[in-house]
Amino acid sequence: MKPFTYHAPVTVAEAAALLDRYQDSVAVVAGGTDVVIELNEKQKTPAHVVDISKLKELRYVKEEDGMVKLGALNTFTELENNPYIQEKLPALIETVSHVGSPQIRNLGTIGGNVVNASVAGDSPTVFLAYGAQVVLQSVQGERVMTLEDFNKGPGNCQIRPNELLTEIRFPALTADEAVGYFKIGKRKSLAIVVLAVSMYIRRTADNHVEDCRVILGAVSKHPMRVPALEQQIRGLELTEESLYETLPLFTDAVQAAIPTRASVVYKREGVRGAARRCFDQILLQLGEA
Amino acid sequence: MKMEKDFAVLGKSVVKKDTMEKVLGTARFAADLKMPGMLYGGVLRSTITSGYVKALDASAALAMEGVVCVLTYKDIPGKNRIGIIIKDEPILVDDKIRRYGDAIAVVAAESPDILEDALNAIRVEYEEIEPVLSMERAAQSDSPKVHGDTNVHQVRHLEHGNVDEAFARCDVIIENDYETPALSHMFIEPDAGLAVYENGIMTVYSSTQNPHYDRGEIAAMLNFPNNRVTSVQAATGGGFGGKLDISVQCHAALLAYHTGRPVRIVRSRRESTMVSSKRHAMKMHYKTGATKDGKILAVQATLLSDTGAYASYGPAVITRAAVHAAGPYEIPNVRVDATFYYTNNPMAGAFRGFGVPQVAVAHEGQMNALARALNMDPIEIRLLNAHRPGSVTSTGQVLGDDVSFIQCLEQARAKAREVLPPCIPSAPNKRRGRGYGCMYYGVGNTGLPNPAGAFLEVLPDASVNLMVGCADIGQGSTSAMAQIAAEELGLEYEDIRVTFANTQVTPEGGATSASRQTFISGSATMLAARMAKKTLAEVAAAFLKVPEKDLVFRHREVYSASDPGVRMTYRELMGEMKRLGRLALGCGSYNPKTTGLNPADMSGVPFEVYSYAATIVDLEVDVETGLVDVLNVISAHDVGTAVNRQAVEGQIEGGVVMGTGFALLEKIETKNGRITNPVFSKYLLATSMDAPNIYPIVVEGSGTAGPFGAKGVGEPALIPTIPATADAVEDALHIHFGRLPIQHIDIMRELYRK
Amino acid sequence: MEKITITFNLNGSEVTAQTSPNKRLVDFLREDMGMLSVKEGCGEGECGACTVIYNGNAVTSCLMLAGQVNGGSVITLEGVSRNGELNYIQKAFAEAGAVQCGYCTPGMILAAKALLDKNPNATNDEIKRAMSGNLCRCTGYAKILKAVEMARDTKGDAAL
Repeated sequence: MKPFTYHAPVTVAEAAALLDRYQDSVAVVAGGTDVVIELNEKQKTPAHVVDISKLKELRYVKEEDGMVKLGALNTFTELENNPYIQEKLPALIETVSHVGSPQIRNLGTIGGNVVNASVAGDSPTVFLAYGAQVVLQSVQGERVMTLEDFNKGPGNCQIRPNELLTEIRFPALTADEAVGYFKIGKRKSLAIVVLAVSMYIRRTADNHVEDCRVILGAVSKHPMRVPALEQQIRGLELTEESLYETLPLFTDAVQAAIPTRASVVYKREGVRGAARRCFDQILLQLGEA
Repeated sequence: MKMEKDFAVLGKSVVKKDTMEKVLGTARFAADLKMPGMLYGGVLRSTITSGYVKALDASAALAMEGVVCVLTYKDIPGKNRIGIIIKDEPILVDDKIRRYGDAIAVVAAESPDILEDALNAIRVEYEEIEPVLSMERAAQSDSPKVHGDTNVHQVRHLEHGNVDEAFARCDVIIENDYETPALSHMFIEPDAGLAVYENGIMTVYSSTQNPHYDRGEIAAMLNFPNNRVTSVQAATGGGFGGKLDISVQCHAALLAYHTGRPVRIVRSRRESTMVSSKRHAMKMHYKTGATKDGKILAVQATLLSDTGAYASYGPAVITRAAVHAAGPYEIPNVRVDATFYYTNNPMAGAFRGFGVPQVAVAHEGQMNALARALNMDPIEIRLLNAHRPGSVTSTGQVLGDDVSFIQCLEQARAKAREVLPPCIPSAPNKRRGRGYGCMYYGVGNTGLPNPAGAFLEVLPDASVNLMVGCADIGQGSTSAMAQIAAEELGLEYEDIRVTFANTQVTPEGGATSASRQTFISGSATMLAARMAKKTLAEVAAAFLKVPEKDLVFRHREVYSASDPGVRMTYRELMGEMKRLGRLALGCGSYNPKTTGLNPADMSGVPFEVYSYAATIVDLEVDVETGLVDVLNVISAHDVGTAVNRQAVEGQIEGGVVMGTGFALLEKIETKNGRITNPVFSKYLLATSMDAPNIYPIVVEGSGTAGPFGAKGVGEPALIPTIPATADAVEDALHIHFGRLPIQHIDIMRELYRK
Repeated sequence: MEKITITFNLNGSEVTAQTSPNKRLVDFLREDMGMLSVKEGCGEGECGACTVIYNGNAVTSCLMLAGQVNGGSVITLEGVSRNGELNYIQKAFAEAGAVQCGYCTPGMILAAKALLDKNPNATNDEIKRAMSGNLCRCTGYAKILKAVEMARDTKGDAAL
């Protein structure tokens, strides 16, 4: 690790000031599960490190004005143990409970996972299904943008060097909305995402799909929405039978997205299984299973 | 058939001698060792796979404050070639770079940070030549030669009976290709060592399975007599064969020699995996012929492997693979042709099983295919062909009374009936399968002398110092030696203190490899104890006025077998020894009773004893994701006599999980000779959540060879699970996978083959 | 480079130390604090050998900067036993035969302790999951899981 000056602010304002002052050469450490490796292996050699793990004000989970608001410094474990999330957001539980290992979940933060924007990152996929926005704070003030606009792939998320990601927020689900998530990993713990599917569905009064979002994780360089698929699912009756009929379309979507990649052989087949489980979760949540 | 064994100490589960310090965290591994004035050593490694060093400029590194020295091959006072069998690997590259990561220079610095900067500051100019990256290329006449004038590293031919004539008589012939990958040991502790050069003595503490071999290589490098080098095994965090070759020992010693200061080298995970040996990837073609009743008449096998840039244990792997190629079955006609090539790929060497896991994938794959072809029960067809006492092996060896393979098969089957649920999938997207795998494994080096020794002294208070060469890498040999000595002397396990793997005080132990230490060092220990006991018996016989032959030594007492009232305690006996001025000393050595193998056909007696095993795997495959869930594994092992039952079970359980990983998950990947997955995030081991329920079965036989009939289990523990897992996948999906590992991607490719 | 001052609770005692900020927790604990039970196996949070308990949670100390523990509490295996006497989890590891090479053992015991401190009646599945960030190449996990189950079951009788 190259020498650096270490800062451990305790308020967001302090942190934002530090980032503003040192933005030319700064790294932010939250959970550290990725950054500390990069620092140790000298892939990152900043003059300053701002450790934001002491920003207690960013560890909240709340529902406010119809929005679910997650402080960026919640660890995966904290989210998994949160009663509100357990009750209202089963797909998020499904996501955070399958990240890395217990130790990684105890350290890693949800904000870090989103900012890091790894190809195989777990949470951006599900947050896209939730229709999430990110809140970015700097000394200039606050910016809010959709996660879709924010996440343009590894090392290319739209955060400015003087900004701090403080919150992930998305509309609270009504009784007619549900989200599913399923991750395929090579083993049951310490597994990176081989392939993930997340899906949002809102139903009509007569039990048809009014709106939906379909997100494929670890297919493209960032979690990918598939509008063509969403188009096909909209209007379908919300039954196992009609939803399952769309599964081959998932295969077509993967084949079209990565026609030449070696892993397409796997992903185009595995995606049906992952999508099927998302449908099952959604039907269960909507009381249709 | 089970012999009643009335042991006082043996066969019990004892807490291993090293347990206390390991659960307290006070065990000292090599990376934990620190001395005043210690320097940090590191290695500059080649970033090309094949070529020459044209120029090396260390001036920038040497100019750094805190850099003490940079050494190259020119600084080696003695021999610059190492290797357990063939000395073909340079300690520091002199003539040629043969693999990615070859050691070019070593650096000593005052801190790890300075060391890293210094290594980065050394400039190397290379001249690259075409790397040989496949066996096919290696075999071509116009390919560059890695060593000498041919890339053929080793060839073996085994011929037993008349294979051609036998195939003509077969009702069914099964022919298949099999392929197993290069694998990494992935011991959790990366290699490390500390060298101290003081008063003309070089002492090296290291993470090793092979301290006596290390001593010889260090001495040759320094031109020292062997007795001026002391090689001490530090607590060693796993080995599995990967710590048999020289790792940091020579480099640290060379730096200590030149600087006069202690030097510690600790490899990173990446460096450790990059340059330690790998399991030989193997391509196998098998032809197996049988009668319609399932009696196998002939096996013909071709084995091809890439031993990489250096020989390491390659010659041992090829011999052992050929000898074991037909499996634990009496097959009258066997032909094996094996060829190993040198390439510029990572060095392949010893890894738990020395080629037997690879051939077991094939011979068991054939056995299972044969059972399917003949619609026979997989256990029944094995019972029909299994080795029994008196069977003749494919090297013409007539087996002794120590073969309990039948019992392994029967006990595994009985356990399966008892514990396995019906073979019914748990969900519509699951398929369930049962698989079978067996093995036999010769204990010790193949047809070669491989002795080990032991020294022992019974002290005046009836406690014992036992000194054995054998390195304990966690498997528990130290404790097994203590149990064997206690059993023979009539003392308790707690009475024995074992000093091990320290060449200053312990005799030659040979390598902790080939599942040999319980059998060989154990025999040496028994003999050492017996020698000391002889003196004790003379004194006790005179004191108790009974014949020596009538004496029983048991539970810290000595008594007359015919009149048990006539007895004395061990303390009293030691008092009598003191009065008479006698010392209870013992030394022992043991070399297994083997013969060399006839080079023409490999006939001979390669091993004194063999261990046997039979394994049944119960698993489910998710046909939507291709992921396999191994649910239950039953593994029955003929170990002769279990010295420490709990430790035997521990070996079996560890082997089972390593075996499922071999079959389903693990694989070394390379690009241009460079390993691309040398870290735990890319080379995946099973976690606690992936591990199946394991039912270890310890089968004890009536054999008389070895210490109290004990054989070996370290490597056998791994082997049968591999083919059994592959077979269970095949059973679940009705798809034959000859190539391992069977990863999720392979399953999906085959399931949805267009 | 300026040093930083870290004040934290290490194995029950308040400690203040000066160290370089560019140090991982694992290096700080091993080099500065002499906590040699903390092992490094991979440096990427994948093997769990360097596990310590930080503010009550099992974490891999190779993924933290030393400065992060300022104001917090850290438990290493050195702090689990008292005067060389085994704690109930250590005892269970010894009795179950859960130790082979021993390199993963400190991290395993701490992962178990972090679980049982919070959830003394953890189910077998919860135990399996809590131990799933610690790799073991020797044991196949069977006796390690058994040890943690034994520890759970015998905790009431334990002196420590």
